[in-house]
Amino acid sequence: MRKEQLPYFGYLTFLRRFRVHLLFLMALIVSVSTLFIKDGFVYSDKLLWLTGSKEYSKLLALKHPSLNVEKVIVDISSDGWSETAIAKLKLLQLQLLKKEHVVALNTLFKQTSIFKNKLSDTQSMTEIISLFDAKNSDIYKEVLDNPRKYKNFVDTNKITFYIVSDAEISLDEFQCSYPYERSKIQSSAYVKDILLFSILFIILAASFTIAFKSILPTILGMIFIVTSTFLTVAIYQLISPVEATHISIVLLSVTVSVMDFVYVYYKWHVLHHKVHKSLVLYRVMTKTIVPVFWTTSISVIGIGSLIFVDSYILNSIGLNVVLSASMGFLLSFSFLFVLLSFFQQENPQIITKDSAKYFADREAGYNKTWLTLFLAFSAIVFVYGTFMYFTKPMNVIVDTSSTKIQISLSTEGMSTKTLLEMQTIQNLLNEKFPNIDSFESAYTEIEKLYIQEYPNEKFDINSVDIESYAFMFDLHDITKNIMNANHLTLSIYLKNTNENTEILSFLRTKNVLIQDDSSLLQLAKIDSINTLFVVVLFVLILIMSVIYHLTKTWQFVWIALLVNIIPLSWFFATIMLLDIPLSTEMLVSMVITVSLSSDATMHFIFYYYNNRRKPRSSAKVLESSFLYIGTPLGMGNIMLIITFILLVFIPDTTVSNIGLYSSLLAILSLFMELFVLPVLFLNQIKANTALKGYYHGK
Amino acid sequence: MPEKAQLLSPPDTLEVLKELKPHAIVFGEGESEIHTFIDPYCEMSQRYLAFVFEQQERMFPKYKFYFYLYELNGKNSSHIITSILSSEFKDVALKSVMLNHEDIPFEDNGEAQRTVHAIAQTAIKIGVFKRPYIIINGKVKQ
Repeated sequence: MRKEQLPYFGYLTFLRRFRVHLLFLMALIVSVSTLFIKDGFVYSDKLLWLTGSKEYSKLLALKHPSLNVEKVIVDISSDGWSETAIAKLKLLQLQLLKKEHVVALNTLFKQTSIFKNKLSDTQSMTEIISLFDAKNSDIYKEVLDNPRKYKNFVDTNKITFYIVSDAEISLDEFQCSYPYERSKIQSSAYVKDILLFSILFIILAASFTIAFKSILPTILGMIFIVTSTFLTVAIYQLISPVEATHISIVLLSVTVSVMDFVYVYYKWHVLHHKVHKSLVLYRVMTKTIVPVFWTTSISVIGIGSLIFVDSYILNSIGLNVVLSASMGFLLSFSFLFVLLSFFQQENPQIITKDSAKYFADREAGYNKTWLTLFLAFSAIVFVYGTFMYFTKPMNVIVDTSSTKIQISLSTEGMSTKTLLEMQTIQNLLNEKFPNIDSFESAYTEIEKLYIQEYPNEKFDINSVDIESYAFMFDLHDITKNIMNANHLTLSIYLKNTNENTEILSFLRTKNVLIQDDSSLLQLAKIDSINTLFVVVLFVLILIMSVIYHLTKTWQFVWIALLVNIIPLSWFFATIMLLDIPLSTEMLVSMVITVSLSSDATMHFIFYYYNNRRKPRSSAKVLESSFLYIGTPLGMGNIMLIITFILLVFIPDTTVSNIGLYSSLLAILSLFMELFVLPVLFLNQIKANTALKGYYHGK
Repeated sequence: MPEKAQLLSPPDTLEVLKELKPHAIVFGEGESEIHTFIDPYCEMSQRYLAFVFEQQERMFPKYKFYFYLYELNGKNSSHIITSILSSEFKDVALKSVMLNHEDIPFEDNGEAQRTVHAIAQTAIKIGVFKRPYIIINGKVKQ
């Protein structure tokens, strides 16, 4: 066959002939896309999580805002509990009350009591006063005399303010003369952007230069990764219904393009060894396009299926994977080939030549008992993980300092009926969850005031004149602390967040509206976990189907399944065993890792299958696979692992968690790809003479 | 000294107040009716009115306030009550006297005394013994 008739040859000729034009076209596309890129990335994924989630939709249906509950702890150690401290804290309270978006404050000063303001027998009025209105000396004494009553707000020198707002608020402009801690620490997104992109740039540039002992891959790699990421983000922003661009979109796009680049560039690099320079690009194309096509398809179909889920965050992860994977594939076989066509490699060095031989020899003489033991232990780990998944409640803590849950009744108004409903919920919560410290609601307020007003009578909500109390709350402007948009609210104060998930799950079964952002976020994440698990399962099934389609050999299918599922099982079982709170960042990392490890599996198995008839010894098969597949995958993975590890130091919980979990998972996955998959291949395929069409010799 | 208890049941109280409504100075247009007997010179009544007007943006759409001017022994407020009730703008006059502590010129349109009498009759029936005497749902708020 003439070389012009070979598949892809015409396409490569076209790329070569118009390479300058194509480069200009690419530069033009990138320039135009700058028009669509919006400044800055979002680090907080709160709104993305909430939009589309069940409980948040319930709030929206009633036109309720979700509320931001922030805990601010003021340290008054310098003055101690004193009238001076009280005066300064009152000033802070006043400033907070005037702040825009602040809906209510739950603080020491908002605590109320009833008293009869009496000038004479014929001139008197029952009033509700808050501690704020009392004299500083009285407040000082009251708190010292009744420490239990105010324990939610005063803990020796720590004074807690719960700020309920309908938008994020900044405390920068407040003149608080004491140091304070906020539950939601926000650092500048600009600083994070600079840190993140510096880490990505430095690590990737250094890795390329060290791995290939040349500056060329660094320059080409940076151009390719930046172009691919840039276009992915631009298209995402253009077509996504989600306004905000979460930082994970950039990270995922970088991950995909790094792997694509390393794989194609490495192939191009090593083929200079044995192929004539005019044929190098052609050979790179034929050797890489099929596995890359299938891995892209798995990512697009498997993880991309998330775009059909009715949740903004999952939807955006899905769309992001579809765009990153497609863009990576498209640019790898067009733009990257155009770039490579300008260069040639003199004396290419394969830095892993000796290590490939060393590991191949070791693995070729593997001990079957150890393999069996490893697989048996992994099976136990898998069963344990599965059992825990179905039996143990998910622990999804968003913020361990948020010890307040705010809900409201879904029925409107303050009446005997709604207060009885509130009483029932409070009683049920008290019975079921010892972790609950106290409640604050219209019910508790009325009970407290009634007992003060009628100390000798038994409190029974049925016989209380509710309208009279409702009027009093309105008259003294405390309704906003116990009602929101005409719905009674209940503040649940917790001793700690241990039972938080169980409490929220219980509340969902009741006819209530969960109002605070932190709880809504937690529930949205719990709901997403199952979806993400299903997606991971779907991706595994897809990998198996593609492998079967390519090899028609079940043994390869099982190998692919084992190699992909074992790292996930180990990771998940460890989380369950150590009772680490399950977060969605872990699941996003699992999705990233599944796409990375499926990539590796596909390349390895495709290589073994393509060379199935070559008469090679076990050690030689492995050595070649390490040289041509293991090295680029190892390089790519190690670069990503280092990058992910460094992301841990970014001052943002989401990014640092994704960095931590992705690096751990990628290490596990790389171990499986380099040390278990080859052994499984020898064990199941090479040594299995029952398989026809394979070379089973020594 | 009047007895310190409400003499009528809540439904009966509401029934007698229904007839007294035309003699009230009214603020707000809410559904819930709050009836209050006040004396313009009583400090507690003034304090109560101040609370109401501080919260008027939220209170007036929700409540309808009926204020009945009823003299408290020893306050010598009969003249000012007559003047307020004789004023063309009773609500403005009431606020001037009770919130701004302003004096208004004496006025008697002849109708005022009938109102004073009607209010006093009803107050005695209900057993109004203090100011402000706040009635919510026919029941006095102690």
